[in-house]
Amino acid sequence: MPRKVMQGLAGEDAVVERTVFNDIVTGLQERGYTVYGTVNEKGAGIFRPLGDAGEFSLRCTGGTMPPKDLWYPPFETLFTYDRQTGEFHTDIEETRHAVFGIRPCDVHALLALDEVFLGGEYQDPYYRARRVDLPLIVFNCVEAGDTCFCSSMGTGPGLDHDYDLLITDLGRSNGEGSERFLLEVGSSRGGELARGLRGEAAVDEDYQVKKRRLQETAAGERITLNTGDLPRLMHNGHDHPYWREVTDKCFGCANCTSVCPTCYCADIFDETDFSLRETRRKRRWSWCFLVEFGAVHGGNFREERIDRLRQFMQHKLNFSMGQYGFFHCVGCGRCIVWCPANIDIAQTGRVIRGDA
Amino acid sequence: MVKTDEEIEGAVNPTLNPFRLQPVEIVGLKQVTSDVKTYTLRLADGSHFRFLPGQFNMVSVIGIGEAAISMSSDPDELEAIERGTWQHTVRQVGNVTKALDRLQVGDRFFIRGPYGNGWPPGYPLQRVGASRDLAVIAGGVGLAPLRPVVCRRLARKTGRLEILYGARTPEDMLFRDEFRTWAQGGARLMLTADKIADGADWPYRVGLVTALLDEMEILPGQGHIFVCGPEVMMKSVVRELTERGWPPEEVFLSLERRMECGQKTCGRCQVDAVYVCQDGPVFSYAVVKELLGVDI
Ligand SMILES: Cc1cc2nc3c(=O)[nH]c(=O)nc-3n(C[C@H](O)[C@H](O)[C@H](O)COP(=O)(O)OP(=O)(O)OC[C@H]3O[C@@H](n4cnc5c(N)ncnc54)[C@H](O)[C@@H]3O)c2cc1C
Ligand code: SF4
Ligand code: SF4
Repeated sequence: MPRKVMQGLAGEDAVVERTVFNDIVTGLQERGYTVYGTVNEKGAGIFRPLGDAGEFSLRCTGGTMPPKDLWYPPFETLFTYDRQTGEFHTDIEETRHAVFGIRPCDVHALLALDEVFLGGEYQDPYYRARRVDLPLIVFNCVEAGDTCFCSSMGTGPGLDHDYDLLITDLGRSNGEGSERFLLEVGSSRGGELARGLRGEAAVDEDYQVKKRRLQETAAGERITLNTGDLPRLMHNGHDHPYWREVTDKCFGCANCTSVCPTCYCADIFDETDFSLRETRRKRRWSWCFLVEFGAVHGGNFREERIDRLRQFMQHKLNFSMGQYGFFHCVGCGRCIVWCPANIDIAQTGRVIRGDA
Repeated sequence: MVKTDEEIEGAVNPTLNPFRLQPVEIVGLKQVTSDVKTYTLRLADGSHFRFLPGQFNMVSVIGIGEAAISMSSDPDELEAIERGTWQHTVRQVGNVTKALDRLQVGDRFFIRGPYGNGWPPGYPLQRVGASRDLAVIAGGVGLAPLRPVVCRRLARKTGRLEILYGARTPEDMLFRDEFRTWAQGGARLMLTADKIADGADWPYRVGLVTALLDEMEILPGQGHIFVCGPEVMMKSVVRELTERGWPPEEVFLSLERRMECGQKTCGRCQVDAVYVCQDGPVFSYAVVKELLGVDI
């Protein structure tokens, strides 16, 4: 079928070449966004501001760390109190970050945090300020990482909502020629960005190729977890002897919870400067793996490491479903990568549910 | 319930910062036990602070931090409404509570709240607790969040009210000087102390609060039970209530967990799929007994 070659796209789905990435990044920068993308630094995929798209590494899959700190930083000041005047000062700045190359699993993780911070009775204005204007240029995954299990969790390897632009590597036609990417527009903001790019109008076949590549990726995931009836099975398995086995290996280092894109627990604390003039009320990430997490006067509700490990995994594979209606594990596999004890949440889930 | 301007503004203006603090002034102080004080407070801007029995505030001493503290006074007491006051009863156990202990009448600190669901929905309306009999069972400072319920019941004079209260020693009992008024108002008061000093004048029981259960006159099917105290105490109480035929739906417990935000975002108070701060702190035993990670 002859293709309609377009010099300037009108803002619709298209097939494009890699050079277009730079136009998208530049387009975002011109609109005032700081564009974050995965950059390969000494083998680690790090989200950092891109100068241009040349720095971006397609091979980083989801990134060694999730881009979570763009919308939920590890430390932040909620307000400052001037001890002399007795005045409060709150500085909520709306950020203009864009993420280039975020993966479907991390978009699902972002949507999970949206529910936590904006979906309840109280809306977190700090989170909101970083979230309201956050263009997402999503890359579907055409190659599964060693520890990915997004297709089990229903969060990847493809995305079909909540993107501004969605890019799928279609490969080279017949294995030769130039690389081709399907560029899909998911919002008017994405349409704006796509307007004027060089490319060809997308045809049915392109979507077929995309579909096939995503199916292959899903099939290539080596880790799987059957989520059918999982919350109930996890509930029933709360006293399964395997928890003890896993706990005996766990160091309690909290690496897993530190890298998880959906973890949101926090401490709120006060910090006063040396002049005793100002106190800042701050919020910082906290983790259910820390001993003090459940400590209160007269006791600790999760005294034993087994309680803390179980809390982490039960929350991801069971409790979150009751709280929000979906799992807070998006199958990104980062906790598996980062665990010094080779503890694998999917494996644990399989054993507890009786599949392994 | 009439909404305050703040609530209306909060509803239409979601950007209103839920971490914003309100200054409060201490207008009265009372040493309740050697390590517990009751603070009578008023909002510094003169507006009226509304809450339900069983709800709590996040209390702030700036530079130190925040702690969850229940309201311990009757929200419907006319005199308090006229003066715009309410009370917190606080035991000093850590950073914030010890900092509060150093404050004097006239000093200010900060709150945000109220948070939480409070004692059963509908209270003090008809559905639960108002017309039927009610027993409250408390251990130690656990009587503080139940005091609003006791006062309300006595003011309404509906149904029987039994109070079963235990503390480590008689000296650790909260609100001792009100017991007589409560009894005269019609409450049946049953007291116990874990231990008493040799030769002390203590005409009540010695032992755990569960020892009082046999003295209860309110029977299963006649009303409800509200329980607040340390988790081990609540555990033995509900076990014995169940043995005595109390249906789990009619027994309500106020849980304690560490809380940083009170708004379902800090994650600290999660138990199974509930957030104690907002889904609770009060839950029926029917709910609590199904929760993973709470030993009751
Ligand atoms: C809904 C609710 C209502 C409450 N109502 C009342 C009330 O009406 N009156 C009342 O007196 N209390 C009440 N409490 C309890 C009160 O919130 C806690 O005791 C709170 O911790 C006191 O704060 P603090 O800063 O004084 O103590 P903290 O400094 O937080 O210390 C409290 C205890 O926690 C332990 N702890 C804290 N941090 C750590 C750590 N990092 N590692 C190990 N242990 C640690 C300490 O050993 C100490 O015993 C309520 C709690 C809840 C959840
Ligand atoms: S629990 Fe592990 S695999 Fe699941 S989302 Fe968190 S880091 Fe990823
Ligand atoms: S990363 Fe592994 S060893 Fe560390 S706390 Fe998590 S499960 Fe335990």
